Amino acid sequence: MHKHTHYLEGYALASPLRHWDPSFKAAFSMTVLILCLWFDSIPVSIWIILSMAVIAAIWGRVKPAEYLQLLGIPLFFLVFGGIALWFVTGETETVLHVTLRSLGAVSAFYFLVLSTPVSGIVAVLNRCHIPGLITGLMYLLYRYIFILLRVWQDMHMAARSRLGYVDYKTSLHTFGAVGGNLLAASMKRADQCYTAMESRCFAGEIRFLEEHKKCSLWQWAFGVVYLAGVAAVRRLWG
Amino acid sequence: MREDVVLCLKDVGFAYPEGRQALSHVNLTVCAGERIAVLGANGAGKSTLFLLMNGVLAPSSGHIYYKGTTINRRNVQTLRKGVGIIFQDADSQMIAPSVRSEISFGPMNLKLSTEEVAARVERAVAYMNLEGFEERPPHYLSGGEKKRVSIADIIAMEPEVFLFDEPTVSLDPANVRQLEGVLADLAGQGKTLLISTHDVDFACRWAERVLVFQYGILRADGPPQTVFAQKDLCEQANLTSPVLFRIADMLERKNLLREKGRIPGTVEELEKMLGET
Repeated sequence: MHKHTHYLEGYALASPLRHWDPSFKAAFSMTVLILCLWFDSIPVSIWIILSMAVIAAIWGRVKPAEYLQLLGIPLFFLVFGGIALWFVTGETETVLHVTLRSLGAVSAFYFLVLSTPVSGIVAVLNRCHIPGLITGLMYLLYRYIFILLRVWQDMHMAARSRLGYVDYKTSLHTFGAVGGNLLAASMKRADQCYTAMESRCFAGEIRFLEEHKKCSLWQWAFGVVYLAGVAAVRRLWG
Repeated sequence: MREDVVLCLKDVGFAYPEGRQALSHVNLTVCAGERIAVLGANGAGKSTLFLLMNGVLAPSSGHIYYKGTTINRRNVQTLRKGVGIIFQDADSQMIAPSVRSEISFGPMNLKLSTEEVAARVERAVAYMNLEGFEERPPHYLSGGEKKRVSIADIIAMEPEVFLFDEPTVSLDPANVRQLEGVLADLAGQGKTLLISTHDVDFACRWAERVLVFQYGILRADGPPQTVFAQKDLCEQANLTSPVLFRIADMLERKNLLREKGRIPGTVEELEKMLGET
């Protein structure tokens, strides 16, 4: 879990596409996602899956094997869902439709996730006038996932070094103790965090400076050409 | 009273909700541009003192004055604007998903214009050598880098007084040297600096005034040479004498000092006291 959370943002931070306007990327990604679901067409889904993979590999500099690995996580659930659907309906084409459509939507969403750090995504939500309380909580939750993971890793390592996981029974006991301590640690951290925020004149609303990146003509052109390509695939092959 | 008094604590006491008395009857004035080291064992009240000076905690008794004005609930933000605190654990200070956002948090709370916030963030980034780190999330940084970000957080708020709560803890020698450079630079700009530390050698060479706390009571307040000369007090407060003092003491006992009865503040002073041998 931790490895993949870490991983996804690592890709976004390393991607040359991170310099693109996050609002444009979010709008583009959502449009492709909606078109994929709306057209409900196997060729369109395949086109989106393949083109998004190519974009991620060439522009996003994600290694193809790693992209496949990342896509493998949702694919795992989709395959199981597909098998269940096949048992219910018995229609192979419906299963293929649903699976490819879902994978196409996931691919469109990956374009955003693999190229936009969390700060960019929350900036988009702010521009969509999502209440500050919600985005503020998102910031804190995101930050504290990593802090608590770090605390958990430290406690886990300390317990392991003292044979805390030497056998099944001890492991269960240690797991419970670490979990309990983690709760106490999270309460303490929350208190420290609030103190630190107050010390910097926090008055109830979490606000950060947002960098406004301009969307270039070239990026607009790319968006239009790509969407036209999706429409063309739909027209030519259904 | 001096005209340039920035902070003044009059008979300040503080007890935590569980009943522990962290500070008792503290009387203290801090003047503009002073370099003060706050010493004392763990639990002596150093961090509590800083939280009171920043206005995060309100005194249980006594009063705090900032530039002559008594601080209360209504004007506490004035104190927080003027007095910035850099916490011991940089992780607990950081809340934003990127370094740039993190540094902008304080200035944004000061209700400055976006342009002004951006300019301050840029200056703080350059000042703390954080160029290239702006978009990185705090959890991808090393301990030293996090400390630099936590200092940049406060520099961007441009306070008059900086409170550093045990800043050298968990830093390697290179980062400590860099921190000392920043401290020297801030002092050069006329900023008022207070540092809580266990490092008596650092306090001796850096501070012009030393405060010693023991069980929440201010036991000593004066120049390092005067304070560290009180051996009984240092022992009671669990402070070791600075290495320079111990060397001077040893040399004096062996009759190797040309100048006797003086306490060296720096290596150069000790060298002068030794004279030509």
